[in-house]
Amino acid sequence: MLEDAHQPGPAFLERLQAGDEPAFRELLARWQRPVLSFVYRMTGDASTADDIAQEVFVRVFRRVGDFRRRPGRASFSTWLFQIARNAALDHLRHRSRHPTESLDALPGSGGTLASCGPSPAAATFSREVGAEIARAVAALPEDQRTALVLAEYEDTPVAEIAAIMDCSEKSVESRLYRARQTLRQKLAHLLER
Amino acid sequence: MRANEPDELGLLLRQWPDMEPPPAFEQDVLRRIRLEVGRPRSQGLAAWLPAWLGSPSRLAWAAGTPLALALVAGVVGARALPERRPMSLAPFGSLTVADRGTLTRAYLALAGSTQR
Repeated sequence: MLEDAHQPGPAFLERLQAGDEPAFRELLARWQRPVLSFVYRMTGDASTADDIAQEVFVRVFRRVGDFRRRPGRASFSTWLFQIARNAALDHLRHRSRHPTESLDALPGSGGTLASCGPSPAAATFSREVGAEIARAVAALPEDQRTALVLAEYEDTPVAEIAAIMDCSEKSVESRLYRARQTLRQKLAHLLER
Repeated sequence: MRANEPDELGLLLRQWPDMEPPPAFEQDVLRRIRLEVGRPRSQGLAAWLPAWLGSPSRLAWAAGTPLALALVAGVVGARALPERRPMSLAPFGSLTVADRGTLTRAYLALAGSTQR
């Protein structure tokens, strides 16, 4: 079992590496929602977030041996979100090269948020407000968006965001500051309500 | 610990809810992993080369072949070069300032004709 929600122990990692199904079920139970939501918010694309998140867990399986052997390794969550971020960036690069494939994916533009099975909370949220937030976040530069999504939605500390993004904490703080400034301007009409 | 306590903007951003995993998400991931387990690992050059060089005879072959080729190329190249006579051994008067047809030679010829 997970010895710590953020830091699976060596025995657990060994089971993952061996393709142990119960171990993967435990891992998925803990991480599928954060990873899926992170990828969704990074790409703004609910229809492909599912596929990208699945790919993240396959990459975890492929690389867990490297993670185990890495001396002074990062926490499991840092490593996992690095993989998730890279998978999301791969998708965004692909989308920028093939723009006709998924431009309709952003929420609020005929996207597929509803089709991914909304939670009870999602059922009550204002679709228009959510779509506006999604568009404003999607318009941020990728580095600001990563920092903001991790900080605001995954409650990730600045030091861990810096490790995930491979940059300094100052740099993360600066990106968060700029992202929030931009969002305050773009969403000012919603903040005044 | 949160990076920042939620302010007004943070509270607004929270109105964009998490994406719920589709019901088949777990099964789909496990199916993909089962496929991954069953698939033979692709052997890239990085994996293939150390395995191939594992045998001492192959290691000697891999190190010796480029060396032998370089030696042969050096000998053949040296033989192909035209023989040169050292400047100090050339008879006086056989040395020329410039080859026929060069701009320098043309200038010297012109200078000589004007002096005359």
